[in-house]
Amino acid sequence: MKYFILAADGLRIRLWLLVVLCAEFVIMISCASICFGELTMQALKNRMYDKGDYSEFYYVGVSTEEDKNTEVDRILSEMDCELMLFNGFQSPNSEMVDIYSKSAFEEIGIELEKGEEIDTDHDYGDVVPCYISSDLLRKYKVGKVYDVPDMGKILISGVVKNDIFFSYTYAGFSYSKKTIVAYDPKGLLNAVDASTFKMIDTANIADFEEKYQTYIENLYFQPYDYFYECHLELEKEKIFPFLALAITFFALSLAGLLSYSVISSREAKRQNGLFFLCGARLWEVMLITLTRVFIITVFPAILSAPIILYIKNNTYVGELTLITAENYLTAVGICLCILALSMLIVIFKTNRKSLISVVNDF
Amino acid sequence: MIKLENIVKIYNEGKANEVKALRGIDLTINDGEMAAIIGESGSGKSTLLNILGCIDIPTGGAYYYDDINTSTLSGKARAEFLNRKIGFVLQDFGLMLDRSVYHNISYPLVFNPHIKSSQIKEKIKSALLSVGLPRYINSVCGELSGGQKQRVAIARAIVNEPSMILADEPTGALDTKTSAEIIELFKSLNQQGKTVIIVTHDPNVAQRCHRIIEISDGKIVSEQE
Repeated sequence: MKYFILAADGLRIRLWLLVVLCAEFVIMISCASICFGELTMQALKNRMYDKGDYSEFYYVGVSTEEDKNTEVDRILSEMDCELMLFNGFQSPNSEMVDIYSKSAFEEIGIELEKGEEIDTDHDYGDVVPCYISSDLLRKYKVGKVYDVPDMGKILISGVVKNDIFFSYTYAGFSYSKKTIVAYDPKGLLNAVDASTFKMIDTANIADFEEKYQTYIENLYFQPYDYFYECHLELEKEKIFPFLALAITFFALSLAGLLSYSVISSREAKRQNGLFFLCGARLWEVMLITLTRVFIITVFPAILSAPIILYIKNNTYVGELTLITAENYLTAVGICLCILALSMLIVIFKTNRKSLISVVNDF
Repeated sequence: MIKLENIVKIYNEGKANEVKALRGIDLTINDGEMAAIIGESGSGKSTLLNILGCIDIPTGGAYYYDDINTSTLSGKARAEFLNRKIGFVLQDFGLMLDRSVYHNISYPLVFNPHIKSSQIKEKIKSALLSVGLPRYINSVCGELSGGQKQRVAIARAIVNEPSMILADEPTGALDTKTSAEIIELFKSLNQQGKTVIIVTHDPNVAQRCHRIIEISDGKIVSEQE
């Protein structure tokens, strides 16, 4: 308690400086959270792509021309591989509903935050088992059955982790907070105006690209990884201006913080010298310094939390990045470490020789 | 009792810029003495004071405080020694001028593990009373006069009730009248049983002490009672 009072007392008279530091820290934490959010999003998508081994997936083109569709059906029967079917529609409650076929569920591993995996061999009766994204937890509870008017009965089986979904609409992976993924082999759901997409997994088809090169060139089959890469590039282009701004603001705030450290280091050295002269041990001086660092960073850390939440839930940047509690805490931790390091260096520089010069400098 | 045996201090030993600040100091100071160490600038008097205060270690020789060889003290023991046995008073006061009197005087108490938070304020008030500044506990140090600042510095030096006070040119930044008041304060502390050692170049200050030790070129050249 004595150390806390000494640490806090030292900051009390510099209120204006604390306000400036606080603002700088809020900017640093917010910008760092955005940057980490983008990195997290990219890393997660890459991990999901690698884990699912989607490089062998191909879209099956759906044409308005009957003879083309007949040709595709013939080739598919010749391949002897199971077609993955995806139907997407908007529910009466304005939620996106994706209906996966049995093979789609089996091929595409969906990671759950909580709940149970849908058993595609189990008969769910007149209820359609679903996974939901996190925002829908405000409406639905895991394990319960809901009768959605004009749609059908759904059983909430689980919550999708990180709200990142495999996109069958030529968009790689999509980040969506209001999506339902349903397994409806009996066609119980009233899928109004549903769009249908087809895919195949060519992993077990020997020399697929060589055998069907002509069909690939004529867009009967389109590689999933091509669209995945294109979409990643597109997302990078979208987020780049915001990232550049975030990094710039972070750097400016960091420069301000380091300037404060340089300016205050002489005073800190004097005070640390006095502490040692009054019989302080190294750990006591470090404790006072770290307490001061904690006080300086705790207020901006608390202030930046609602700002980051607002960015996450209400801005375009929030739609493109995956800002999580871990990102926020990492950003706080980094800011805290930068300030702590700059202040601890001053302590270690106050060795015996410099103590004498500090004493004699007074 | 303080005993110095053949104390030598060499800076940058073995290098081109080697400096022999002390060249064999033998000195005994008894408890309750008030001694002045005088000498020209560069004579080694501040170096001697720093060694007495254990903030510098001699290159050679031994420094005994109450029969304890201070060079054998661990870091923890040395810190305790500085905290509870010694009070330092510096020439330019050694205060954080933008902080309060309370804040400045609290330092030795915060680092004294035997003092609780609840006792700090009373101790500070008592120290301020001893130096004649009872109403200044919440004042900002930068707003005080030179004499008042030095009194605050002395209050900080005595707040943990050390047995020895070391003062490095305590009147160097003060006028004649204020200097006399500060020396009177040191005398009253000495009369309470504290050993007071003052480094000064002012003969008027030295004359007020029991003993005058003159240093020149790192050696004691004379001692007067």
